[in-house]
Amino acid sequence: MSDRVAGKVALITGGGTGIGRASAIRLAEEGAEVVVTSQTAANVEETSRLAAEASGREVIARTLDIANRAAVDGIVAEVVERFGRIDILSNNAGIELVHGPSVVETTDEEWERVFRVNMTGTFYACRAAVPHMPGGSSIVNMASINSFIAWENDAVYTATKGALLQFTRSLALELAPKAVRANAVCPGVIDTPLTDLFLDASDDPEALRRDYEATSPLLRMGTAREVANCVLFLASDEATFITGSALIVDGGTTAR
Amino acid sequence: MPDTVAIVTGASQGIGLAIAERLATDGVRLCLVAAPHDEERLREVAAEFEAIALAADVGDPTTADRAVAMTLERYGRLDWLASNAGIAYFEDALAAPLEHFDHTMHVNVRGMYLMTMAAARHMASGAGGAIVCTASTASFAGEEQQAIYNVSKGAVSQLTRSLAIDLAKHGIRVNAVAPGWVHTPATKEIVADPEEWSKHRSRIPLDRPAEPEEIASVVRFLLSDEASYLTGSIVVADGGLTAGFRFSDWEAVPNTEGPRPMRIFGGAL
Repeated sequence: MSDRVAGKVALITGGGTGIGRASAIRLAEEGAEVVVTSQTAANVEETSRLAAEASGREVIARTLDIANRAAVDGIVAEVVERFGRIDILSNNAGIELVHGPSVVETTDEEWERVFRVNMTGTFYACRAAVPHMPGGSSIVNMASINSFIAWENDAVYTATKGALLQFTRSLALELAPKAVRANAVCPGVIDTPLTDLFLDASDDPEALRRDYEATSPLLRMGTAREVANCVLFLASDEATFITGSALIVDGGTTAR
Repeated sequence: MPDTVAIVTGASQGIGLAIAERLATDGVRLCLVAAPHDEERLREVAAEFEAIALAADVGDPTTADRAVAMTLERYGRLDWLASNAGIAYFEDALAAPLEHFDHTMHVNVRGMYLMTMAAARHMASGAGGAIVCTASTASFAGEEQQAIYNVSKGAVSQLTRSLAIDLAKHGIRVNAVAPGWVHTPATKEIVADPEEWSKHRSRIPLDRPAEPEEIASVVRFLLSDEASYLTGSIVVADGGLTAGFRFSDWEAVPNTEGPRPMRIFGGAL
């Protein structure tokens, strides 16, 4: 398979590292015009460089705080001004509280910050982009297996991912008359810089790594590229009858 | 020896035919299985795709073993299985005779189980493989006039999850596609009946049934190495049918109007 999203205009948020970065690379490899954003300039510039190197195409990088509504509106306006439309919106910006507070320990600021990035930011991006998405377009929101199951000491992240899935389903119903699709990708434990933060914070990183690997019956973590393959599939014309769906990519973690 | 070899069951029509066509187009060598009453069409399909064919009852324990054996004899390998064969009766639960229960379970559950296990036994002895079962939105929803079918497809989703767990250590991924309404010979009479179809269409946000090719492309993805971290997943491809309820657009549509024009891409906005 090649050129699976040739000529489509893709806006990828949260593309500085991990799954978002891999999605930017994967979509560029398959022929999309990619604009990628992250809150961290150095990260998104590195993603742009890697995606351009992998695809031989120019990949536009922009710094963006997804929780800043005016900034999100501005990026969407810039993409539309340049390309005239958005065919693929891939929302990946997400944070998690690495120190793992219990509900009682979670502060107002922590709760609100995680919700603003993980849920409100995706809402901002979808609301701004949808008027510029023609029939046949696709929104892919990065949810989690936490949309279905909970981890202990991760309540706010879990709540945002549950909300994100339900938001995506709602969006799918609203956009269907325009023949625009909206789906969620729900990864299990993936080997990304976010996961590394948890390993680094652990008293016994090797033991935690083995625990993470054992969540899947495949006995390994997934790679960011394996999740990006799912983003690509849902964004492509291979998935024209899939909308309002949750594509679980967890190596079987939630099947048992 | 070819690079990739697959068995497709229920391959003479509908979703199975589309899977066979898609895989053949992508260079996969095929063993096609279909029910004996459809042997003539199966032979035509097999000739078109340069495939080998077996017209036999999937619920018969010898069928799956024969399919695997003839695949290995012809191609020397078996990488993928699209375990797709299935039947459905549309009838009120109180009117359904026991024979319909037995027949549906024989094909949809026993047949799915036997075929999947035979392929998995071979794959486990070698380099692993990938299996995709055809489930349904009926795996989750209590769909009207389909009580028996719903039970059978619920079983398919549990078979998929269970085998994903047990076969992971053998390098075998097991996933399912869960289609909603698909435009196939099995549903064509309903889709063609304006009054009957309007009841179903009104619940599909994309406002149309899937074409079989749109389900085959999901199966193709799940079989491929692109899906290397998917196992035990059931991928719903239903045009939004089970995502929720919409009350807004459809009440204005008279039930006698007939199916709306299909809007796949760039259609009327």
